[in-house]
Amino acid sequence: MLVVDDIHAQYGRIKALHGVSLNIKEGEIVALLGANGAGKSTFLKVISGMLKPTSGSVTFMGRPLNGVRPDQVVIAGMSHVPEGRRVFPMATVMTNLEMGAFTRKDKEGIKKDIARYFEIFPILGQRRNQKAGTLSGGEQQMLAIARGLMSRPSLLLLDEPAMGLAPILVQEIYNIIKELNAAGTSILLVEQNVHKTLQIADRAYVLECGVVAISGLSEELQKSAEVIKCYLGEAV
Amino acid sequence: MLGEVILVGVMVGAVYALVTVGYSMVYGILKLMNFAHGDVYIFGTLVCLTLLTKYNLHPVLAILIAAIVGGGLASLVELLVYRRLRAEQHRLISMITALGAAYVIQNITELNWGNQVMFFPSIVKSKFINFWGLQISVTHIITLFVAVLCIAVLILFMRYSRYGKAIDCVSQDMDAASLMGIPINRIVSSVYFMGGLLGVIGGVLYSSSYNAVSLGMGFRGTLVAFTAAVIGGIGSLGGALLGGMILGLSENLIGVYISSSYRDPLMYSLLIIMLLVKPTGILGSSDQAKV
Repeated sequence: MLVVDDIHAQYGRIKALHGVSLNIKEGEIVALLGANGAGKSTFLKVISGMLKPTSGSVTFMGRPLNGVRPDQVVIAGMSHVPEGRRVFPMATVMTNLEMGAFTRKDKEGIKKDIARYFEIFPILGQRRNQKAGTLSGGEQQMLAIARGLMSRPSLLLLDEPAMGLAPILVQEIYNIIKELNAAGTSILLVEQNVHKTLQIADRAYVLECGVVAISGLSEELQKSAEVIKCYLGEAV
Repeated sequence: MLGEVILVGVMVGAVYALVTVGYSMVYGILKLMNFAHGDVYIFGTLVCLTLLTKYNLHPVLAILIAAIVGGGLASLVELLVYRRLRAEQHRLISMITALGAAYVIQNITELNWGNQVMFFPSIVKSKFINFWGLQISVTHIITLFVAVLCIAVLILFMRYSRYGKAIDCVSQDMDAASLMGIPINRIVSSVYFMGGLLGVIGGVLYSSSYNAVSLGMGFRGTLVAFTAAVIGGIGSLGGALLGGMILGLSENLIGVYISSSYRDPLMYSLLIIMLLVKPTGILGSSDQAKV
């Protein structure tokens, strides 16, 4: 479904990615692990069209996405939930969700989807007319995920959805990710938490200093979890 | 007497609000001081003058065409000049560019229409009616009505339409909006277009109620818009309306009861006081960037 081949990218003169390749098959949860500054978010920016790579190619559902604008990437069926939630703080929960569906024209379908996410995330339904900036961190994360799903993506890119959340909420977010995947959405999950992520991901890539250090099936990688932790700079 | 002065003040205030809205919205989205704003709307106002006097077009048609020309010019400047600089980190770069764009438009305008003060015909026949003992000019009433109507349409558009909400979200977080599939370039273009369009309507209303137009009104218009936007709270729609109204009203009261030569000193004093006391403006929240 998504084939990324030998991506190089840089900010000004600072090189962030040195030839990263990755692929995702339909229905998979693929994890991208790495420490701060390893290039995970840069990688996501490249595939969602926010950053032009200096070389390499991105192919999504057989369609080349090189140099395509972010709005066209969304229309193609990919949705990127950015790091740090980035909900529109001054807009209501409702407006945030409507904006997630900006590329869609089917008013009825949009209404139905909003009702559906209010069922999955009841707290969002209760706060539908509240400004998003007044929600708690966990609620904002739920809103960010629901907003990302409003475009009905076939592939969802999640950038550290558990960051800064209480452990119980982290578990809830992970359960939701699993449910979404079971319902047919493929997922690229960017994370720092090795154990938790490997538990739900089918496969994982470990990024270090802009290159893929290790990749493989989650079960295999779990055996070398300690090694991965070293790459992530965690205490073993 | 006071009633008439206040009414004229409210009229001027509504026109100022119209001119300020576009300026403030551009700032809201791009954090750019659009110094070309006033020159764009004077260009449009002069186009309207030509359509009225040379081609004898119906005023409504003339205003519509001129407003679209103004909107188009504003978008064109964005497309040709500002867009390339959007990624530039330093705001000073785009600010200086805006000044440059203002001079280019100013000089093109001067080539076509010269720089003297010209007579601008009244859009409606000036007539006075007596209303509750007040002598009211029909021109002023219609001017006020048109300005309020435009503002009301804009508010409804911003609050209830999908596109209006998208504009608001782009000004809150451009990158996140882009990830939602909101086409940023198109949104920014249309904000410039709306700003130019409303500015020209404001310029025409102002010129026709004073029966005068000149090139110099462009730069003054930019300053009025800047001052009103800062007083009300730059980047906010309500702030632009409030700031425009405060400026229009106080200008007229001072002009009539003290002296019209104190008009501009008052305007800049208000600006300085505001920047010293509450740089975010009356309706600006503290998390917004200061001017």
